Amino acid sequence: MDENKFLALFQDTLQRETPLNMDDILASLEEWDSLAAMASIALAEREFSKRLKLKELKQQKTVRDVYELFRA
Amino acid sequence: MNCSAPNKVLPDFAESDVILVTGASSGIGAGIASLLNSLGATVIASGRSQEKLNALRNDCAEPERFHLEPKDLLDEMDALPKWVSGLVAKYGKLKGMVCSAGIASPMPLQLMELEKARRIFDINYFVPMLLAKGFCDRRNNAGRGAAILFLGSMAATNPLRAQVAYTGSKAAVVASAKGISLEYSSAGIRVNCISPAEVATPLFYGFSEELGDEAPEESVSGRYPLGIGSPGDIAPLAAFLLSDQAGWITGQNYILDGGYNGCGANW
Repeated sequence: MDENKFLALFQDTLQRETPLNMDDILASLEEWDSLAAMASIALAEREFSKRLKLKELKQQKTVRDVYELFRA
Repeated sequence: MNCSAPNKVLPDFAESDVILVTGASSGIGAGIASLLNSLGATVIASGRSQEKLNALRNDCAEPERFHLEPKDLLDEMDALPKWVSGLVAKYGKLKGMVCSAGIASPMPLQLMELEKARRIFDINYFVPMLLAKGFCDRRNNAGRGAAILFLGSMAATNPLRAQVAYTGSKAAVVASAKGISLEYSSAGIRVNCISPAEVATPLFYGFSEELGDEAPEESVSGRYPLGIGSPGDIAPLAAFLLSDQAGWITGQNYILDGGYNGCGANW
């Protein structure tokens, strides 16, 4: 999955109205909370067949980190 | 501290307060939709019958703020959250939502058929949950102060005979409403239930007809010291719970029962 498609899917997962950038800091996003993290884990499983733990996801700093984690 | 009472009992809504009401073509949903419109809200009225919705709009206080969205909510149920998003794109972010669409059918345990029971759960439970999913998407609601109102049933806590699936579906709604209220309280979204006893609506008469009861109001009046309910008995509390006046109320289930629980059993 390329970056643009990931950004669109991740934006939708976060229920965010404005587009995301790969370098956005997760902690600075109003939408980044525990529910969004759980939804992101579901996204990883659905789109990347990757099973993640909440702890792993919470360690990521940027949107790009999440993308790389999903693809790893 | 100002504790002065408001100068009227029912709350006011602004035109920008957009409220979706399902099951609005008849009964309790119609009563709530009409009252909200008369109190100033912009109402999106959804129901299966275009004809009944048209009639409701013709009779409502402010038809230009009463939008009709006829729909069978069982059609493409999975897509209901997207349907909510579509309504938001058309009418604006939602201040409130009333999930009033429901069905009841007599079903003693020994006559329970899985397909019929599932249909009751689909419309009474899964439809409101999927609508709530759409509503709680942060892009679809007005944020802090937005409110969901589910129609439960007194049957959820005081089951009557021969209502296995109906009772279960409404109990599930009441329980899930409390759970959703916990999930979204930090976002300022309030979630409550009204659980009416028997109310004189097409749903009630249809249920009674299936049981072969030709005088249903007489049959049930003995249960209720204040008599059988009407949609007008439910709508004022619904308006209050959707308004900012109820800003500190969430996760509650209000039983409106004409006195049944207070004294009806021994009346």
